[in-house]
Amino acid sequence: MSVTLKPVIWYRSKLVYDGVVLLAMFLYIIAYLRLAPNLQLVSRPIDDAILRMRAFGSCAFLLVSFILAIGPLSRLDRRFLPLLYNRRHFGVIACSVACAHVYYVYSWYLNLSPLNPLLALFSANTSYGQVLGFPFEIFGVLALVILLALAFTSHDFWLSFLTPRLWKSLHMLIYLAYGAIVAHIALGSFQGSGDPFFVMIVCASALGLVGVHLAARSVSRAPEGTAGDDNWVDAGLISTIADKRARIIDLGEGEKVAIFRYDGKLSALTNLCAHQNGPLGEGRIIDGCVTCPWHGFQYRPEDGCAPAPFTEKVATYRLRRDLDRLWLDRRANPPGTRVEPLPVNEGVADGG
Amino acid sequence: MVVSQAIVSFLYAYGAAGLVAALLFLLLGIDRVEPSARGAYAFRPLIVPGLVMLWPLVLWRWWQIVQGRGADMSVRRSFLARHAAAWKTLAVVLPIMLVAALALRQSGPYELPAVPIDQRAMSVESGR
Repeated sequence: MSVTLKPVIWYRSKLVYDGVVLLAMFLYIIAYLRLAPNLQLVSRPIDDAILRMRAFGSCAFLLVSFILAIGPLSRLDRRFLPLLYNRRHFGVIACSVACAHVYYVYSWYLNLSPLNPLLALFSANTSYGQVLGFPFEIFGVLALVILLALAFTSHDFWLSFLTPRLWKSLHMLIYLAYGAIVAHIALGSFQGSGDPFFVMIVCASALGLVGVHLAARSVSRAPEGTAGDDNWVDAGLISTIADKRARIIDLGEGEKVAIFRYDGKLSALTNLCAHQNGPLGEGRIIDGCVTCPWHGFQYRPEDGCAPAPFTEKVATYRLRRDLDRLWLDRRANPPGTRVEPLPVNEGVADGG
Repeated sequence: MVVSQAIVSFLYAYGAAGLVAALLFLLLGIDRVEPSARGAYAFRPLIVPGLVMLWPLVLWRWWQIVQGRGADMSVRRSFLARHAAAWKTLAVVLPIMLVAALALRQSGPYELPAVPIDQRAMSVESGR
């Protein structure tokens, strides 16, 4: 959350995060280079260059899979939340590893060609009309182009310049990239004399990722019903909202609201952070402000405004109560609209 | 080969145009369109690759802001719905892709075991 743009904002926890990711990456590469030759179904040793390209390629796949799993895992279990905080650096590291994979592919398969390597890449195999022997490289190129675009636009400048709407649309291409990566592996590595261990890892990663995403969707709480006025939805019991935490209410059609309990009061904000659409309801109240779990953007719970000198605003919602039961007005107020917090009266037990 | 040559030529031309657009934007545009960039210079090298890669988008946004059509800073609720749709699609496509790839896979043995040349010569001799 900066007024003047800086190259990279690093503090201790981010340095530790990046250090752990880099260390895990190096350990994986070393382990792969040492262990993978024993798992290959071939009678002769794999060339070192091929081994390195497979090491970096598989590492990039696993990193992207893990990055995509962080969001749903955090919804399923709050202990994964710290992994969300620096996911952008994680993404840039994954893109760098993918570039290392491409470097080894280039230096081994294309470097000795009399043709321009880029020309050789597009002209070496043009069998687009068949499945077996399909030029799977094209899927890798597509995925790499997307990963590069996302890494290049990961700086906060791009979010502000392109607007959150356009920036988010661009970054949703990661799902297309993931599909392209799996296609690249399925039509490439799977068809060769690869090792069955890697096949199992890829299948488990891709299917596991789909599983956690679908499981996380069921976690968000749907409204339980409506009162006489259709605009008010039942938001459950007040006593079950933990102090300085939120309950997320899914209003349908992608609209979610976070109801925060703090200092004996309740306030409702949109669940979407103005920065990168982070899930505000998965954050908590810090220094009196709702704090986004992704990058620490803060908003006052009563009006959805970021504290000065920052200018971000998010939509607020009205609340009312019926004894211990809470009701939410599904009509969003314009961002920054003050709504008087609803007091948590005596007689309402503390939430867990 | 002709198509490949055309693709490569296009990429070079696109990159060259991107370099020119990036230079123009950094010299003339960035301070006008992005208030947070005024007086901040250290971050600018970091955005050059993105400017080169996405130069048509950059020029379009630059033109929009100059025309006063900027700032749709609203967050789209539909992103969550699109996110869900993306994962539902992947939930169908990924298993099909993996199963199809494994079904099409040609079974081994992938290679015949290596045989020393001398031994092969001996077996040829003995076959005569």
